[in-house]
Amino acid sequence: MIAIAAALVNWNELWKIIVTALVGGTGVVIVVGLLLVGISRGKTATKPTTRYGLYALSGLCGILVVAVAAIGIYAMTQKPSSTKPKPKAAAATLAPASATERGFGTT
Amino acid sequence: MLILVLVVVGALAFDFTNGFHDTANAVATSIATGALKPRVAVLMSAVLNFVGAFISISVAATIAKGIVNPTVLAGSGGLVLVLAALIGAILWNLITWYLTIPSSSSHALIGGIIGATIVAAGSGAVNVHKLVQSVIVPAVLSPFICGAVALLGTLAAYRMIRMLRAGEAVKGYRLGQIGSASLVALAHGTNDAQKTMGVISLALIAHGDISTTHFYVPFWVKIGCALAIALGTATGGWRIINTMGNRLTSVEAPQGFAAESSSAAVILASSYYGYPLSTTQVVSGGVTGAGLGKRLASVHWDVVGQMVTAWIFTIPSAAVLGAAAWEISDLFSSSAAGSVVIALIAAAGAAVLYKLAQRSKITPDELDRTVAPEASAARLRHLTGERMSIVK
Repeated sequence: MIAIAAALVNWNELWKIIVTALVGGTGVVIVVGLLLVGISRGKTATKPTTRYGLYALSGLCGILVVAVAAIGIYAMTQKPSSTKPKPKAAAATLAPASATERGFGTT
Repeated sequence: MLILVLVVVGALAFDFTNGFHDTANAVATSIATGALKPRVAVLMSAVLNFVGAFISISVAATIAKGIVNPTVLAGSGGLVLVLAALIGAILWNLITWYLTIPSSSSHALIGGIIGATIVAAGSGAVNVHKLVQSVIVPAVLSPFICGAVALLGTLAAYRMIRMLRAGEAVKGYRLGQIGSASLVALAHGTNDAQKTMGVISLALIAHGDISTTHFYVPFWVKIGCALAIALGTATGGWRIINTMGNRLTSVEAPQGFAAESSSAAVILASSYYGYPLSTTQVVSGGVTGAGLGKRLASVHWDVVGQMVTAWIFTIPSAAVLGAAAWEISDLFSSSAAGSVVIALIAAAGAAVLYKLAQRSKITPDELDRTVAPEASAARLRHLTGERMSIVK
């Protein structure tokens, strides 16, 4: 059973995805929560230093959220699967229509 | 030439159905929590799907890569096979749309190709190990991964809410939802529009219009696919938005944000590491996980069951439809005549499903949660109770 799972599941990639998703997915929710708490508490804080500190925390969280979104967009542009076909490989497997007429596997 | 035109039209039609079938992935929770008005949400998603189609200029140039023997996709026989596969995928997308069930358009396309390949070239042309490894295993794992991340995110969000006033939390997380939904819409455009670009490019290579040694995606293909998916998204897909946003679970703003953030994180991470996942299954898992994060009982397990059943049947059903389309086309001595006939049958089938769907139409106004809470609650009861009878 373990051998079958090992053959079918790319655990190396899967763990990376799980960790990244946990850090990114759950982390962003926590950071946005901190951003909101900072703004909320900052409004009611009586001491100026506390107020500015809370606003600074919110600002930092805002920057983090924007940075995570930017990393996400960068990841979209770096898809390893989105590569051009190798010309030789494509030429070996694909032929123009004139070469075959329903001739599966005959090219 | 006629078959090539039919394949291009079929691919764009598939892209269109992919758009409205998957609109829910990005915007369902934002609509359900009242973060956005329904029409504004789908318009935003449509624009981002369009932009997403151009983000990554390189295209996955093979469909069902490694799953079917690429030689079966060559020549005019390959064009008919791709057309039959597209027809199988389009019809399955429309059937699940009619049944209001979110299902994977990519799996439908893979199923269509597998079915058409088996009847055209035999089962030996399908690599079952690769199918299980790159499609079935990720399909099983992805909802659980995203569900677990969304569950933890929801628990964290409700912990943070204790430190906030109710109004502040709702407003803040609604804003966050708009951002995370935008990211999912952008990722969807990048992944799914380019699959269709790959289908059309392969057809052009098989027809001899593009050289394999100087491969490129013509601009008209890029703009056509981007427009088709954007137009499909703009059409709304209200039936599936209702299922994803209202019927799976009752979503509040923190849950919606956790679900969309988790989905975006899983989709982008899997995309970056080259692990193929279905956006629909990831988001559905995320929404369910977010429902579990608040209260276990708020997840409607009967709807989850219907959805999982549809996922199990997607590849086999699309395969049967694709195989049937190829068999019908093969009855004719001329490939062109056979292709025209299956295209006409598919168009008729699509028209029948559209007509049937009009009997239980769901409008964007019914889904609008930005209106008065009383009216919104009444509509929610109407949609989650009465509308559920459609698929029961």
